[in-house]
Amino acid sequence: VICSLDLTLDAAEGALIRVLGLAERRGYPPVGVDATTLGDTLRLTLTVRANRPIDLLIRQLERLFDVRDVSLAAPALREVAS
Amino acid sequence: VSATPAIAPIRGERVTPPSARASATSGAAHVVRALVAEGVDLLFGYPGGAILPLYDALYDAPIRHVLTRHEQAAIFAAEAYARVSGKVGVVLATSGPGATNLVSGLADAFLDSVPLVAITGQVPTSLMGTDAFQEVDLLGITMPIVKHSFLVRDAADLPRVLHRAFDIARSGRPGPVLVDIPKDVLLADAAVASSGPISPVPPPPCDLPSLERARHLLSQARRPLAYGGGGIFLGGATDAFRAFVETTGMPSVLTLKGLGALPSEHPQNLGMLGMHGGKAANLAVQECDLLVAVGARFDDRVTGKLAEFAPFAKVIHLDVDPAEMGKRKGPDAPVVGELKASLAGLTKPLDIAEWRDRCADLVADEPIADRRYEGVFAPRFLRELSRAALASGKDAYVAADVGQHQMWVAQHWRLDRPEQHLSSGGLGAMGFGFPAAIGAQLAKPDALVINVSGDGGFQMNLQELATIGRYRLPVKIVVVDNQRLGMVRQWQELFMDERYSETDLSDNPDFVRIAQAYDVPAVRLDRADDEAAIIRQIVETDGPLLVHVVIDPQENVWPFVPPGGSNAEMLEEP
Repeated sequence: VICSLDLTLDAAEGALIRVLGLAERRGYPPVGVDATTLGDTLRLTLTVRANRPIDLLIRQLERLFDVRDVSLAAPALREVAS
Repeated sequence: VSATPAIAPIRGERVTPPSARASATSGAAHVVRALVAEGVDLLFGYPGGAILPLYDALYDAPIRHVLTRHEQAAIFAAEAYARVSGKVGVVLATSGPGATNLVSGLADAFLDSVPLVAITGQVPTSLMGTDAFQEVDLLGITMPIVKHSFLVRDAADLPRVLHRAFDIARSGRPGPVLVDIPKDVLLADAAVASSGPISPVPPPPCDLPSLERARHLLSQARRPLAYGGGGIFLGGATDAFRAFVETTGMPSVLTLKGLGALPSEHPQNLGMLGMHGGKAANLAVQECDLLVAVGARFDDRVTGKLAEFAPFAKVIHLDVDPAEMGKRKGPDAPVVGELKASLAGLTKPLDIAEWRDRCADLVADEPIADRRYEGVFAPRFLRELSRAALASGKDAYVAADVGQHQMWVAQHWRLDRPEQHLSSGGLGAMGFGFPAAIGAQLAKPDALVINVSGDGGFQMNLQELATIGRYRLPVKIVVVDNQRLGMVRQWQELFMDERYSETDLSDNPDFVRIAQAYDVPAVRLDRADDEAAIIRQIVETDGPLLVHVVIDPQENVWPFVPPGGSNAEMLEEP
């Protein structure tokens, strides 16, 4: 399935790469990224191909120290068109 | 006729260039002040160009710097120092190759959750991104293998960042933190007051509903089994785990990194589970109806074929890290929080006498590895050495390298406490053991620290013989030599039709003469009849000693669950 997450990050050096790299490595290849810097934060909508349950990725992202908040975007899930 | 140069060197006379030293308010000085404030009195490292200002600030600082002969050895030593001392390990390296030599250690610390702060020099900010001399993007290279990392571009940020790095390294599930500092930032002046160390905040306790669910499962279970991992020691929960096991009466299996959470001889300790686990431990897992995972992560080397691991069991998973819940095996009762509190909440007597008897039978049926022939049988030798070390009354530590001997240590070495056992678990990094012994010895100068290495792994960091000479460390080195990369050879024998591709080391150097070249006394052991005398020598020698133990190249590690196989189907000694 394709899944979208809304994230708020500290606009720290490497924060965006950290999030994208983690998603890729843990089996959720990013297929879409929409990011905007607002003051000292980065608002990010991350769309990934979820090969594993999405809650595992959310908990991994929550471990990152630059990540302030992660939530499922609305609408979060859609099946991959075959 | 050219103008007279500003500095006119006279042939043969030395020119003094302007001082490149950093001031008392420089970034480098702030780093040293932060280290002192964190209580760092010993660190490991290797100097170089980009980190020169920090080494200058360290020159008269109240911190002991231990110079290894390779950055990889420095970080492995720092990891062991952390485990044995209970402090955060600290390692320094310069930019480029110095920094990349830390990568294996960062990965090891990440996979085994070791609290560590690595500080690296970086090329000046103006040169970053230009492929400058000794420039690598260490922040980028190490992102997947650090708990967190910082690149500091303003010297005024250094005190805050350093204290934050220590806080992150030791809090919750510990891990390595990298602080990369460009040379101009180390040299820059910054008038900034130190914020001081961050007071540790214990992880939140687990929520009551999940604890209730776990209690309910415990009350229903007839064959409950504790499965203890490295998180027990890391969470300071060894006593809580012992109280839990003893009060519930539950039998227990341990992972490689959990060894020592129960004493080896504890009647409820069924031993190590997994690929090279004991028969009793693996069979108990297959038979249990409730598995209580404590600070363990269902690693593939532990579970074998996951679908057939603990097939009849419900699972209670206790861990401080929420991301471990369901990563490999979905728990029926996830209990996220500080282990001590979670365990205390589950410590109540259970009525499981029949199951305890069954597990006692499994242990009684387990053969004791022994084999009598003229040569040395490594499992017996290591078991007897560990017994002598414990019996000596000395504070004894063992640092294993990686391979067959590591598994023999895990299976046969007698331990009282988890911190006595140093082993590269998650990464399986050859070359770990000898530097780890150096780190342990520096943390406990009077302890009996024994490194057990193979002939392959010892040669990955044997240059550190110079380090034990320099600091007069009485490390005991046991090189278990089968003239092979033994574990790989074993896999080739069992799974590759005995095609021994590149695992023959029969042209090894003479380890005794190598040690002697470094002024480390050394002896050879190749006869079973001499085992007892050598064991006495290892335990009683005051200074360093290398023992070259010659063993049969054909010796294998048993039992063995083939990769991807079920733990119920162990290969046993033929």
